[in-house]
Amino acid sequence: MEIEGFNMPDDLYYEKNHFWARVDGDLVVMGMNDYAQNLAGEIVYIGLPPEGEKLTQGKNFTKIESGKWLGKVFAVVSGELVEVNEELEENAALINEDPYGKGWMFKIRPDNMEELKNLMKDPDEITGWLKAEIAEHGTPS
Amino acid sequence: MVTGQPLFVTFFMLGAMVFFVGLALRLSFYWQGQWALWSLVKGTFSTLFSGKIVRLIEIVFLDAILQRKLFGQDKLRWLMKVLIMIGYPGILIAGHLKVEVMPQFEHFPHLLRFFYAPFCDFYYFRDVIGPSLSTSDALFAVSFDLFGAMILMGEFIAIFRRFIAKALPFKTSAGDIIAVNLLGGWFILRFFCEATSILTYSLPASVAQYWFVSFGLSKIIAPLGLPWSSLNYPLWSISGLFLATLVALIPFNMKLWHIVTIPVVMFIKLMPKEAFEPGSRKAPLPFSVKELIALDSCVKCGSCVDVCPVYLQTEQLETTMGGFYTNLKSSIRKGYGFPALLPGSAKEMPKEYSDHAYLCTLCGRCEVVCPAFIDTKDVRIAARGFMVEKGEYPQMLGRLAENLTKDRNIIGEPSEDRPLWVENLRDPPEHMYQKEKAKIVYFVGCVASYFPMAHRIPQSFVQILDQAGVDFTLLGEEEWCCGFPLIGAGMAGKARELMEHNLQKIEEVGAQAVVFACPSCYHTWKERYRTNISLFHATQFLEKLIEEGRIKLKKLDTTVTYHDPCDLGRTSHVYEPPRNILRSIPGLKFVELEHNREDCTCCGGGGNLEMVDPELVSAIAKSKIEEIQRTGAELVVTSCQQCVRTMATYARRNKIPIEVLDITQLINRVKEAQP
Repeated sequence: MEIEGFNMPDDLYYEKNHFWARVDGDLVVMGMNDYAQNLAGEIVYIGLPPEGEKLTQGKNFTKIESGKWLGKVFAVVSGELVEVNEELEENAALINEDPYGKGWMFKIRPDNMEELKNLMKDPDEITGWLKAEIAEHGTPS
Repeated sequence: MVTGQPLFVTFFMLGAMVFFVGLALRLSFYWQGQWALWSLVKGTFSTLFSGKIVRLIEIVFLDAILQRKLFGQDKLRWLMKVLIMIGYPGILIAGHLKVEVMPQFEHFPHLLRFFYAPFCDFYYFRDVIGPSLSTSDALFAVSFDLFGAMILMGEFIAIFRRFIAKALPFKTSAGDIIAVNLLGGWFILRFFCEATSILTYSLPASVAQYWFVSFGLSKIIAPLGLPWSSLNYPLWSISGLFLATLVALIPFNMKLWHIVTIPVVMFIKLMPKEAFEPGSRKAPLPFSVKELIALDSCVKCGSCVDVCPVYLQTEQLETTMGGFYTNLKSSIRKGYGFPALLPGSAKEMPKEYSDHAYLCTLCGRCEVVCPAFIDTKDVRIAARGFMVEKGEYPQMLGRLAENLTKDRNIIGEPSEDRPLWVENLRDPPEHMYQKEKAKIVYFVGCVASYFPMAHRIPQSFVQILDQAGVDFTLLGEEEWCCGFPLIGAGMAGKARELMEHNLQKIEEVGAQAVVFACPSCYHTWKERYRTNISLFHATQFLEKLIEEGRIKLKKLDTTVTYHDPCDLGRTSHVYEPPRNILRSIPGLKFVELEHNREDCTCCGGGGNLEMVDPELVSAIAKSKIEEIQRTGAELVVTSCQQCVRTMATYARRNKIPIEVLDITQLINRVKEAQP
């Protein structure tokens, strides 16, 4: 679906810090949503923690940097970090270019898939939430 | 004493009186700056009676007289300055020595002899007896004309550069024209006076030839057949009037006033910083006496223009030291100097002057080339303090101050996130590098703690320290900003609490030394923190670990260049340790940048400029990256997290295939694994 010009694919889960989650077999893939990557501007760096790190849902575990912004990355589910997108080490702008594809950030082996229920999936809920965010934070200049 | 003297001496005396009135007015202006008498006196004596006096002699000879800074910059300008700097003191000394040995003045008090010195040859020509000169008199004659000719040549070059070659970037003011004409005109007149004296007294060539310029001039003007004896005294009197005008104008003309301030600046540059600390009195101006005198020493010579990274991008002269000082001085003077004595004087500061104060990376390259010995960085920071006092500073810096007051870091993140980078290490130790007691404290700094692009620096450094068996700790959440961003913003007063906290925490740990990978933290501690604890930059520490064989390095077949961070190089004078480290890596081919060491160009990341004008930072970084690319290096190494961020951001955004690493990252990469 498209909300005020921002692409928010229907098949994804969203959390309120602007990260998305997708189930991939027994793993959960996460990345940044289209609105947030637009607002951040060109992303130049993302901290890539070592694989094996234990993550807690909703807890900040690394940071992301654009020329004008410094942001935190929050775990979409609790579990073990099993893979990082190594391509982002050299080219973090992939997050801007293809936020739901080549710009994916981390793969997590969740402790409990049920935690996905804490995320947003309902299109109406997502639309209402994102519109409120846009009203609060504005759109990229 | 003034009455009963020949006209030229009377004029000179009157000129000197006006000079002293002007001097008093100037001093009354400096009075409004910050000073404490006891600190100044103590600082003066501790400098005079210390080894610094040797350094002062070096500065006087090599920098003031031989102008070594200018030699590499512009040969014509160097020649001009050397001619003037040798000519003026030379002729002054020769004149005063001669007046002391001339029998005509032996009954004069010394003070009166002083006023006769510029005109002593009037009497010498009048009273000279015999067909030849003694060796000493011949030497005096030759030296007068030699020094006079040097000054004239210097002044001609100055006029050529200013009016014909138009080599000066700044506009010539009426004051500049008056100063140049008075300085040159006085010597032209003096040669004419000597020539008319030679003709008046029909001196034989065997005597007159020693005044080789005037003698030649007398040959040229002799055919005019003028009544030389009637013209002689009036001409010497006019020269006296010229000299009097020159002397009287010194305190009122900025170009001339620098003749007085530069020797003072040379001396006070060697005085300890504490000598200029503000006393308990409330000064009207937030500048120290040192800074006010330094401001007055700038004559817009233009040396700072072509080395200013901001000017090279914006071509705005107002942002360079020379341009900024000119506007600042005029504004301060309107509010606090002579014009302020008039009713209705304005103390407001035009908004654009405030903007210009912050368009600077505080790289200090202008300080290296400044022939007036001005501590340009300190003056710029003091000017920012003045803007803060006036409430005229960029909004972003207000936010920065808020963040630092509330959260104790530059970006307003919670303190508990400061050691987050440790959690992102592979297999961090249980104590997460935070111990209750340790010999060494590694002070990480805000940028390396909070910005992910810089996290690899502390992550690398702790791994190296760990492997080398160094007993160290981090302060973790208890580390607060060192205070540098506030000092750089002109808000030094707000930094005190941060400094006191950090010092207390270091004491609690019982550390003997603090080590920094951030050059700005390092130099802030060195300059501003009052502690006897040893302070090291990571490059100094790593050099030692490598020398002691506590870290072994693997081969690396790469061409590497090195960027000197401004706060480590120019500010802290640490140039060799990083180079020694790089040279100790087997296989590494090290190439210097075109501009290196104290001449290194800024990357754009300093001086809070990123908060004020990020696009300008990017433009400066572009220029830096282009210089790096010209070396053919595949990797640029530096010793500063902010330089890494600035250069890497530009390279990444523009897909430039050059790797940017901090030296800690490189050493972590090439260190041999633990046995």
